[in-house]
Amino acid sequence: MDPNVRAQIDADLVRLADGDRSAFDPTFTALWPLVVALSTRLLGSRADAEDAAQEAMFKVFDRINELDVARSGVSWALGITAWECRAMRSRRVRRREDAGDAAVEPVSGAPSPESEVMTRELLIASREVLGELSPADQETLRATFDELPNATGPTFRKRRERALARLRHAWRRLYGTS
Amino acid sequence: MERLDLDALRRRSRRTYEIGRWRRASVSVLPAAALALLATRAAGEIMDPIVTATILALVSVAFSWWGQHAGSAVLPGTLAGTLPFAAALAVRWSGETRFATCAVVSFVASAIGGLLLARRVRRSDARARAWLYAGAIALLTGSVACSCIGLGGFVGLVLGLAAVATPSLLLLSRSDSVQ
Repeated sequence: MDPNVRAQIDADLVRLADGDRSAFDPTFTALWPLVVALSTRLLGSRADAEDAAQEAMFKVFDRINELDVARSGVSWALGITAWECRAMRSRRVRRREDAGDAAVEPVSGAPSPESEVMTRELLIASREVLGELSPADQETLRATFDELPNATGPTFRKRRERALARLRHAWRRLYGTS
Repeated sequence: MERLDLDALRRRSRRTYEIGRWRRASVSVLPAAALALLATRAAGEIMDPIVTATILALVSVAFSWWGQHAGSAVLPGTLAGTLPFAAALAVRWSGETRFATCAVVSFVASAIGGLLLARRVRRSDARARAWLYAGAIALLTGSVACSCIGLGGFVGLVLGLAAVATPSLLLLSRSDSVQ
């Protein structure tokens, strides 16, 4: 995403949070395609993606007053979108529409530049959340994801559970919950 | 597959935004309710504090919902207004009923509140407008208790705020238009 475009959307979100209604239309117009693209990337199905994207937009506008102006509004909105997609995926698994396929299937074919940008946005949001954790928690999570040889044993499992709980708590605090 | 109606989505999103703002603004009722409770308990009056506190609550909620300069005026205005509010209750407790005494005490307290408000408003980017919004809230806040000590209290409240507001607004309007 062009940094100027991103900065403009961030500025519009701040204005909207402050009560400037003239920022609503440009914010909606700029945010909707980003939210839909991320949802499509995460869910695969266009129908589910639009449902999740709609719910995400409602949550963004409902909670816009909670926006931390010191942080990126775009990352915040995409974080809410990612959470909404996760909830949609859980509901889909529970409905057994994709029996035996709880994992998200990525859209077939090479990722588009837009979906790569969306993935990058999600990574930025994830990094922001990781930055909220203590160094010890960050190290524990890195060891888990990198599958290091010392990332085993009951003591490490307990540390990992606590770190994941704090990660979830930080994500909810920054981006809201479903 | 049914085509998504973007206009309907936009309208519903806008509705969600406004409902969210109203929900958040409704919290502004609490200070007015607390002040009304204090004034009715301390002064033994019921009607006047409740009427003025109701007006204060409605204006605070409306300002908070609207946002921008009006929304950011609610808290400083309420805080500035608590000085004449407290002074009026103190006069009531003392049993003083003379017009002049009530007016002077209210005048001094509201002038101090107004000065603190002027310092706060200095940091705003549309200072004259911010002063008007915050001044209205301060006036209503002080009125909740000043209504219990008679006309003198209310006159002192208005004059005290006006004494600070008039030069402040003139100076701020001039510097706002220069910027």
